[in-house]
Amino acid sequence: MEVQAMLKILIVDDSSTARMFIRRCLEIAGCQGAAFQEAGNGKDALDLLRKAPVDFILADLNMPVLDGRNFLKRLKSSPKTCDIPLIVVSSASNPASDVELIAEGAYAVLSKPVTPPALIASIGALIKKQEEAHGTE
Amino acid sequence: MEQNEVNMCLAIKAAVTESIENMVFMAIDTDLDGLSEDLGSDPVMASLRVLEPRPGVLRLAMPRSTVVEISKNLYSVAENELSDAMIQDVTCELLNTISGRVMKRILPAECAFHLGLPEMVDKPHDLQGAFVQCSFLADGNLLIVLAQI
Repeated sequence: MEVQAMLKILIVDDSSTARMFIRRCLEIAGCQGAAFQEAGNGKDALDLLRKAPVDFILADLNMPVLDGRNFLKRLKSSPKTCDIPLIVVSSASNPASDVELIAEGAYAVLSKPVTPPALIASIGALIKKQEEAHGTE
Repeated sequence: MEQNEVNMCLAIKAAVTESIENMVFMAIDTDLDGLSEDLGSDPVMASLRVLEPRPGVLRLAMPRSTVVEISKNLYSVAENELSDAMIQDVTCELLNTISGRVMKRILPAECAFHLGLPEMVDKPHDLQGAFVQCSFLADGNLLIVLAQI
C-alpha cells in the first residue's frame, strides 16, 4: 500500500516506546513519507491540534493527565476536530469496550501490540473513505 | 496446580508469546531446561494494578540483561545507546501489553476491564506472596511474569 507523502499523523501515548513502535509499524504499513507528531497524553494532543490539524490520530486509552476516552470525547465535541478520525491502540481493548468506543466516535480499535497488517487494514479503509469524501480517485 | 492457576498460566504464556514475538521477533520458550530463575544482582521489575472488574496485580521481572536485549531489538540500537529511561519505558510498556492480553484471555468477551498505569518497583520481596508465577526464555533470556488476580 502506498500512502500520500504529506499525510499528517498524530500518535498519542504516554510510553515513548509505544509511540516509536506504532510509528515504525505505520512506516512499514506504507506511511514512511508521512509527517508524524507525538504527544504523551490527551491534553498535550489537544494543544497540538489547536495549532495544526492532522489527517488522523492513533491514541492509547490508558494515559495520565487526560486519558484516551476523555480525549476522544473532547475531540468529537469540538467542531474544529470532530471530523478527525481517531484509531484507538490500547492494551485495554476488548469486544465490550470496543463497541462503546466506536459508539463514542472512534474510527477503529486495535489491540497492543499493533501490527503492520492490522494498521494496513485500518488505514487503507480510512484513506479510501477520505478520498471518497473529497470526491477523488 | 489448581485449574484456575493452569488457566492463568496458559493465558500468560499466550500473552507473552504474542507480545514478545510481535514486538521484537524473539522466540519464547517455556522449557527452562534446568536453567536458574535467578534475576541476578540488577533485576528490572514493573508492576501494574488491575482495577476492574476485580482488583489484582500483574508484574514483570527480568535480569537487566534481558530487558537490554529486548530494548536493543525494539529500538534497533547498540547497548551503549540505551538510557535508563528507555529501559524502564520498555519494561512498563511490555508489562502493559502483556497485561491487556492476559485480561482478554481470562475474561468473557462481554466483560470490560480497566488497568492502572505500569510503574517500576525496586524491591525483590515485593514479588513474594500468593502470585501465579510463569517463567520464560526470550531467545535464551529469562523473564518472569507474576499474576495475582
